Amino acid sequence: MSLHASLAPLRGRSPIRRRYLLPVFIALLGILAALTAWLRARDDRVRQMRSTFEAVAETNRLATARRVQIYFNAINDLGRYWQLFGLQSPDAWRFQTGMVLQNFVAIERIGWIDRDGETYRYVAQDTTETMNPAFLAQAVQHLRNPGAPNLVQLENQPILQVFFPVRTPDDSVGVLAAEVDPATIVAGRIPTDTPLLAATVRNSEGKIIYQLGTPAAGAPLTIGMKSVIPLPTGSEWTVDYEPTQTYWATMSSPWPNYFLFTGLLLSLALGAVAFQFMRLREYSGVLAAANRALDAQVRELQARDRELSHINQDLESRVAKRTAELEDTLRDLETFSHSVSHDLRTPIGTVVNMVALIEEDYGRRIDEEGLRLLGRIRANAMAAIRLLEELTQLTWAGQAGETRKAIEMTSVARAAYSDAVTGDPDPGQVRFESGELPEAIGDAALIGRVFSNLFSNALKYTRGQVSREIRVEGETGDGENTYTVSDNGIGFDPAQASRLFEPFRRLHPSAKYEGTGLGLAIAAKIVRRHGGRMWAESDGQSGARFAFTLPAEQNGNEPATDGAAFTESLP
Amino acid sequence: MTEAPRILLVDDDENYLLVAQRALRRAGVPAEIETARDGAEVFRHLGLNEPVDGHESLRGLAVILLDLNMPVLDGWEVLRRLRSDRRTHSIPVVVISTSDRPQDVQKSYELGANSFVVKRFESKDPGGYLAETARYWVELNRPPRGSD
Repeated sequence: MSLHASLAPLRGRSPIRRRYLLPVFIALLGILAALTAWLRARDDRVRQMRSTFEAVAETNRLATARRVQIYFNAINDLGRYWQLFGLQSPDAWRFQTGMVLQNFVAIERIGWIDRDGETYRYVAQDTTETMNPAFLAQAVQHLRNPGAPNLVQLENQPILQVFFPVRTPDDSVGVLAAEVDPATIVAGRIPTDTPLLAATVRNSEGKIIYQLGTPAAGAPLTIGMKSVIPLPTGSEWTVDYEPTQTYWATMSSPWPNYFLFTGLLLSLALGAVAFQFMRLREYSGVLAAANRALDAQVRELQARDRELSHINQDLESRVAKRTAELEDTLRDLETFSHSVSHDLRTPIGTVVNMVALIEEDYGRRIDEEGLRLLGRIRANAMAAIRLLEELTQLTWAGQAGETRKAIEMTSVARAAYSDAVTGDPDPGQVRFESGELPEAIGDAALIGRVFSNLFSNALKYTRGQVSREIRVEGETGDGENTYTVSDNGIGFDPAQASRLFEPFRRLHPSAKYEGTGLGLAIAAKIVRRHGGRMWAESDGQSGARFAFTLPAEQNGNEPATDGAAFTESLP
Repeated sequence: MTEAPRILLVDDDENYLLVAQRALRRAGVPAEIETARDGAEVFRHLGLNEPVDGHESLRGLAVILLDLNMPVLDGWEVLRRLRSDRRTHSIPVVVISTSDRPQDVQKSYELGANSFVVKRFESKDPGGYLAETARYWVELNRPPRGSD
């Protein structure tokens, strides 16, 4: 699987749909959960507040009923007290009744009126108040129609009137009249600064006798509560409890709405996070796939690498083995060639020496034909020696020169020409031209041999020409210089140019041109050993041109040297 | 002290010895010519195998003409031993070899040869070059007598 292919799903369609699907689902789920939680929280809150409200209302109702009872008991007890002990002196009466007023703050006023309505005593919470005529008239009326203590309710006046007939020990008959403020009874200890409840008290006829607080306008009816407070007179009050505006405001406070808002936001955020997560997962999935593909490729490459290195090692060991074999063969060959040329030289040289001894010591006793035959022996032996010398040269031309130095090519070439021309039978005829040659790097002795072999060759094949010309030239090149030796001799067949440098190759009959056939081979070998090339050109009629290159810089490609193996071998 | 100078020819080739002796005689080199056929014989001949200090056998030895390629002990080994022996370390030694390889020449000089001559096989006056060589060492060269 290629990396390119593994990245393709990023651009595909179906994963994108999947990328959106899950986040949207999560967001919707969150919104649903938030809504549910909001509703539940709101219900819980309403329920909680209603129960609180109901508890408060019930407590109020019980307290109210109890207070009503207490007040009536107190008034009743006062009447009984009067029946048992009489009214006593006005001051004592006022003191005792004042005590009752002080302890029962809802009692506004207490009065005593005799049956004639002429004698009366009166005490009120408001000490400046005198006897109320309406109150007096009602009490008298009640006295004339005696009965159980009764609760009288004044029209448009939230006041309870209690009339209680009394017969004192001195047989005076009157009525105890008291007025009670229902507001004080109902309100009781409800704190008025933070009223939770609004209470509407109605009498048995449905008339509102007391209104506490203001009911909230928007409060649902479910919150309200209707309760009944029985009165000692046999009638009853009904009280409607409703939440006040304050309580309703508290109850419908928007915190569940905040919760809903936060929940929705959280859901959307969760959806967004899920979206990012899906994208990341997608990318990471794709990347992981790409990674796996890469891993596989890397593993494959590593395997190939190992294989290659195995092959390489195998190849290296084979090459090393072959090289060692080749080196052995080469060493054998060079040793063979070296010892052949030297070991043969001694016996052949001895033949030459012995012929000379015979000629010198016994020459006078040998006839002309004998001397001629001896001369043939000598000539052939001398030819063999020259051949062996050339072979020796060829052998150590194969060993890289020990020195690698800048060579004064001009002087080396001129010296080589001087050497070569001494062997020529007619040197005066030769016109030798030598320009300034650029320096080269190498072994001066070996390069001198190259020049002298080329000059010998040129001298040999210009012999017999009317005017013999030999010219040596040099040319500076990039990293290597080119040197040419040209002549106006008989030249050679261009088709044979490449064979000129093979050992023992002769392109012309040896009867006419002396030589071993090794000179050019030696020269070419030396040049090759220096890292250069040698070639020859001719049109086959008018002369030949031999050229070779040599490195011009010390740090050029250093020629391989295999000379070390031979430095210890014996002559 | 006038004593006849001596030349020691060392070579395993009888023909060479024959030619060399004849050439030296014909050239009239004023020296006695002695021969050794291998390296070991050099030391036997010169009596160097015994630790004698008098070196009577070295008296008058003008030069040793030493071949390199020999059985038993080759020329270089002979040269090395001669140069490491206090009695012989200043005796002139000329290496005569068929080899003209630069490394052979260089090694010979490094081991202490006084000269290196390539063997020549000439059709006129064979061994003449040896006579010329010997004449230099016998007649012209003055060895450091008394210092050895």
